[in-house]
Amino acid sequence: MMLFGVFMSYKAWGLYTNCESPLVVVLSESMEPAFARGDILFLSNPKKPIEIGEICVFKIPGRDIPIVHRVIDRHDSSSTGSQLLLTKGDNNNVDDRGLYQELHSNRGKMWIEPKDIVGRVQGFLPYLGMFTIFMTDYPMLKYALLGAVGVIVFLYE
Amino acid sequence: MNNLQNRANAVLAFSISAIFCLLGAIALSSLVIPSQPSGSVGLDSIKVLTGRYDKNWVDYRTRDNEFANTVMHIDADLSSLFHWNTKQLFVYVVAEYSTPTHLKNEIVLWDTIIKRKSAAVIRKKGIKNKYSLIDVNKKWTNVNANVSLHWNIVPYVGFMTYGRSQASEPYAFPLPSGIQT
Repeated sequence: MMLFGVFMSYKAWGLYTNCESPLVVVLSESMEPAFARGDILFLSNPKKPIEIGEICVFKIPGRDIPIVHRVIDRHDSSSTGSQLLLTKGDNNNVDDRGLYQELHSNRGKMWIEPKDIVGRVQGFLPYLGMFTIFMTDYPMLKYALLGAVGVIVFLYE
Repeated sequence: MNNLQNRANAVLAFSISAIFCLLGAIALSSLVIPSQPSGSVGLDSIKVLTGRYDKNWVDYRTRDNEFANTVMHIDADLSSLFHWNTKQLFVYVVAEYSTPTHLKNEIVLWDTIIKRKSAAVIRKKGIKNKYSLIDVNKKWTNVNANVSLHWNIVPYVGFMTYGRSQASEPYAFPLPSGIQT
């Protein structure tokens, strides 16, 4: 019952922020020192166009893992109103064109577009995402935790 | 009733809610702490050179893409943006212009990360652009660009906030005058 409530409120929050996954955990060091591995980011997708310097979570076509980087170039088309964006990690020496074109099917991809954006970072909560990182790094920990919860419930309820 | 497990549970639950209330209060406080940031940036020279678009990734063939090399000066005092919930400032210089095909174009020329209040006064001359200044159409014809100083405040916990200085006077791009090595 409680799990159901948590899930539903997460989904409602996703609807409110217009964002499929309004919470993400930082997995890489490319945005150090702003964001470290294990920090939690709160995302949303406002209607207004993406501003320069905003930090966005985006997915490159053909790659599963989303990337959190800062927008450093923006070109808004006059005819369609769509945007061409270039991103870069604060801790990286080069912009992300190398990442965009890593897959052979993306050869010549010079920009990302708003349709590639998962969400725009609005808020920040440090460290707490380490939980999920530990869980995925050490699956045994997950089972141990679930088992412990199960045993406690069995013993005390 | 008052066995060890209940007591530990109550203490833990209470401290977790207290911590989250405190974090929320800190996050909200950083929205109302007043600050008087000031900043200005200007270009001392613009030179347009031609070259290959992107040495690493595409377009090895044509050498006639127009890159602008600028020299800028920055005069800013952002120390009032540092308060108890400021982890760092990301400060960046943005060139903004409009072309017939693209109404709004913004390109970051230079950026820096400031982590201490004592480093938040920037007075620098002779800064060259760190990132290439090239339009999406790869040519500069009748373009006037202005530059401005922007900053992003990254908090220890809470909201990402942004600010910017006023835009400078517009600068016209000259005709190409050489070849980029």
